[in-house]
Amino acid sequence: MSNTAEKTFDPTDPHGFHAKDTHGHVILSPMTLIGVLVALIIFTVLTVFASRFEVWLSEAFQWEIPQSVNVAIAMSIAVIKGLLVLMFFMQLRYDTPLNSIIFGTCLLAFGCFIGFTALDLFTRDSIDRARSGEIKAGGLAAAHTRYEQVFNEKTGQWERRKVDISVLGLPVAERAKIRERGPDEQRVSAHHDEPAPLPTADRTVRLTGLHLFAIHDEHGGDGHAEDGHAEVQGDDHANENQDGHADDLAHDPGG
Amino acid sequence: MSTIDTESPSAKQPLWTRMTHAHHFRSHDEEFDACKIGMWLFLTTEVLLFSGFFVAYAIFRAMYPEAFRGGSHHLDWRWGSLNTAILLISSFTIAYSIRCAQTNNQFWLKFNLLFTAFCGLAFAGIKFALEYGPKWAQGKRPGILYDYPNPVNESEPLWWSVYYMATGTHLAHVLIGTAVIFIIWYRATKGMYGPKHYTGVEITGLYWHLVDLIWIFLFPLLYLIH
Amino acid sequence: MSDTSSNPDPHEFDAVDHSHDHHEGSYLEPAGGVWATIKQWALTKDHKKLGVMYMFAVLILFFLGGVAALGVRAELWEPVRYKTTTTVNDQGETVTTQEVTGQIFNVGRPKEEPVTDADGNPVLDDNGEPLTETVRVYNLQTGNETYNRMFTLHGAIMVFMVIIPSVPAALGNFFLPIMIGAKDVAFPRLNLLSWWIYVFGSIFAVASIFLGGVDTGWTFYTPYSTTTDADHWRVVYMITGAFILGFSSILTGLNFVVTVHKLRAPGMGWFDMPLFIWARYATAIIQVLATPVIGVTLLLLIMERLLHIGIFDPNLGGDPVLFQHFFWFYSHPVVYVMILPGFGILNELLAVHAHKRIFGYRAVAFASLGIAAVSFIVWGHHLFTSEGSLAATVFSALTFLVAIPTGVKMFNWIATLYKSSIVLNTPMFYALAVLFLFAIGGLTGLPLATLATDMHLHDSYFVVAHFHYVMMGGTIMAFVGGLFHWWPKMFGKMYNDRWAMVGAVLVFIGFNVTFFTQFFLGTRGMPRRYASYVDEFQIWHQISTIGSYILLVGFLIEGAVLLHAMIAGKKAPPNPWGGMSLEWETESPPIEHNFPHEPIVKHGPYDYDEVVPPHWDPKDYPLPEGAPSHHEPGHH
Repeated sequence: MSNTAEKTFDPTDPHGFHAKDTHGHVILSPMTLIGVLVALIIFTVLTVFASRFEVWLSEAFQWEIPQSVNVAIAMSIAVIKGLLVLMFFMQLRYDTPLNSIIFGTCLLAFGCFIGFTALDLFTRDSIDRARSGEIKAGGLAAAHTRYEQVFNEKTGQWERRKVDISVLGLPVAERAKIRERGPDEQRVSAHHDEPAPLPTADRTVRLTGLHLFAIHDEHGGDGHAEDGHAEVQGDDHANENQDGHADDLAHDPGG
Repeated sequence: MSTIDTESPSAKQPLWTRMTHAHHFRSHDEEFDACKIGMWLFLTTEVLLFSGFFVAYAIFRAMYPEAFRGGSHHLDWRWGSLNTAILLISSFTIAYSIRCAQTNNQFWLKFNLLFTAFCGLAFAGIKFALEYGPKWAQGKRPGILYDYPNPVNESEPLWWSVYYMATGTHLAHVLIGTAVIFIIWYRATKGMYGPKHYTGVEITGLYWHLVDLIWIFLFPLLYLIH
Repeated sequence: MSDTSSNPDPHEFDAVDHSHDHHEGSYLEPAGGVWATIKQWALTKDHKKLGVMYMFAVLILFFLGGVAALGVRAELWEPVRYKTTTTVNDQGETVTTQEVTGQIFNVGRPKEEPVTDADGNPVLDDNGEPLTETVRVYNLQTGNETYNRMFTLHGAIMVFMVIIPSVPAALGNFFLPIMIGAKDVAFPRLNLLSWWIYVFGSIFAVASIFLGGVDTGWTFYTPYSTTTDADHWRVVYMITGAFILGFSSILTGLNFVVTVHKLRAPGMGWFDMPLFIWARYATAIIQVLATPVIGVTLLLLIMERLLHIGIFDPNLGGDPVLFQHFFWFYSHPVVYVMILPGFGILNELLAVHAHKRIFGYRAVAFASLGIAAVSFIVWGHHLFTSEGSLAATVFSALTFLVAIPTGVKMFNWIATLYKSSIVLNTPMFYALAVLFLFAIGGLTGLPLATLATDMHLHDSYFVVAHFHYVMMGGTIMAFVGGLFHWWPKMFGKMYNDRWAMVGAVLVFIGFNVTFFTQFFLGTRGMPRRYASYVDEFQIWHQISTIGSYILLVGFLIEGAVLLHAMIAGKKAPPNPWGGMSLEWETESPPIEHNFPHEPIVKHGPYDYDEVVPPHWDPKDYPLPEGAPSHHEPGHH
């Protein structure tokens, strides 16, 4: 390694940049730029048309084209468009190969990321009984809540109700049943195997700093969170915290 | 990076002829190359930043195809297509502005830069006023904020999470890019860019093309696949 | 021979005079008044000043993180026990009292209690309201929570704010441009920005600690990080701090890649670079490619916590294991961001203080890139107990690939030492310590990469000991060794080698006492991150705690030696060790623009058998008796 410097050193070109001067200042002709733009627009029209055409087929004739075809068409057109932008607008075609290598490396890293993550998450049915549909989500699910608007058939009114998020993982018929029974029973049913639940204080969802929605408000009445309950909710929230603390102290789960 | 040579006898020449390179580079070309490599490296970080959203999209799409199909139907392909066209045209204009700088066509350089910036603003306007606003009001919100009365599938909140996070981050990049292009336009009005010195236009252009590139993939994934 | 000569400006068409013929002062020369000097340092674009500032920030945070670790060790001196004693009092009633022992962090939690008089009736104040007082409630849980905050603090500070910027940003900034003969990094302003982003991010993270601490562990696993302390913003501050620190890391990495590509001195080809630069280059690639992913991960985590968007929340259909994949896609490569520059320093220490060419230069150089490449496909071994069996098997197989380039490096270093002229001074001692400790750290990685044994060792003290042997025994030891190696160059002052050796030996002993015991704890089943344990483990924990305080004494001595050198050390010659790379060809401390003229490289960085080191006075640094002479070209 010591000799290389002496034999080929050219003081006017220390790194040999100019010896292989294939990059640098390329001025693209207007026709190239316009041509690329037109091609990009055409491909956009094509991909939108393909998508609408499939919707039309499905609506007019009930011809359902497999989703893989849909994805393949859309993504191939996107790749072509992307290559056009990269090669001409971003001038990779005329540029030093280093920049293409840099971009290629990042795509490789992206490939590793998505590939290995998918390898794990798509093969989990073999060990994860929930993923394979054998059992349904439970655990912390029972504590998470959100609002859902339901139509009250008797009064003809939209009503806001607190629902248990874990309910959402169930088939529609079961959801209806659980809605009648209330979320607490669902919690029990989700844990039929488990002994006593953990202290509730640990399992309450609190929205940090953001009180748009009152978790604790069992029946919101007028139905819209935007209707200015912020102050009341803030107070309730504070109470809840104190309760939470009291709970913690009372329980002492024992390390 | 570059400094202005104020002592040269040719001080009345346009600004771009007087721009010198930073002292630790050997030549202007070396600085130009370095800036370009730096920008490409930065673009790789941007791609990998978005890779998180693409991975989340792929995983959840495979897990909850119905929710993603249902969610996709709530997006209006017409606004998506319009925004795609706007970004493609803006990509063209900024590429053209580089050509204008190289050929010292100062008027069209400034025009193209300004046009590109306004395209960015138009994109953001459409996104906010015609897509985010109405959807948020209808309760099509991410995660636990989801409040839409008749979802097709239980996991639809997740679709909206992916949608808002991916397009929101993209929108933030559009806005940052627009701001940078305005700065470049302001510098162009001072005559800072010309055939010998257009590094700023070039690397801003690269950034803007990447914003376009990411939208080229987000658009079909979110609006067209169903 | 003349190693630097004036370079005729090859780009005359630019008509800019690059030569700095006038005398330039040291980069440490103050600008005038106090304020002018502060401004000079705060707004500097000089890579050397930035490197020095990074170094002091890292050392201060190292102390903070170290104090937290000592607290953790102190807590583990005794297992936490809940003693229930039943006694019979004077009235003949049975009284049960509960007492917590073995907890030093039981600072209690404030609670409002009504004041009662002797009969148990509430006391009313003037307005007739019941009077309350704030009492502190002490129980098992508060102490354990404090323990959790302590180890999170230790982990987060040490990973994000100490090890990641230690060698890459501090020593890298100072020495990378000098070692390739450049005046500065490619983008000096970006470098300054990167420093201030680091400061800003650290302030965010440290603020979360002073607001009460975070108990999620440095990994921020969901659902801990989305549900604990939900009434506070501290976790968000900590995550935001880590998010911001990521930008600093990205920009530094980007800057260094471009610098290595574009600013090498004339005559310096890729294989004429010192191996520290190769290692730093590989590190920079990882920083650029992996760090954005932690950006998006933490962004999603912040949103998850603030808005409950559900990406990582199983209740909304999300997947907490997805978080682990996202997190480790960054955090595994970043393990090599931590260790690779340490390897780089090791090359310099061994070559300079053993006065010998690095054995297998190209193999070591490519091994750096190989480690960088492999680092992106092995992250799944952090998830062996949470991922699917197919993925775990694949990741286990891939993980063993890491051993190949690492093994190449280890063997080459040992071969370098063979028949060399070893001068056993402080930097060399640290280099040998790294060889020894990293061998243990690396070899204990193999049972962790093996799926079957990992099922037993996962999340045990074995893992803790393993990564401390790698991160601390490898990176921190190499960093401190690098400080001793380059301190004369950075500040132009020599240190007291005898006291430095005393400190180094104490550090070495303390480190091994602290962490070797933890291998035994781990294999016997002690899980990590617990404040308490069964009584059988107590003796091991106590040995480990004693070791940690020996470590403290060792580091305090080292710090004192370095500070003393800065203040009262004798002036250092330009090349005190007889090194061959370019940083030894300039003044100590270096002048403002590093070199008076652009250096032209005419010999390799390790050509000890062919060239006499520049500016080297053997009186400063006598080689051992019978060492091969430098004056016989071709001697191997």
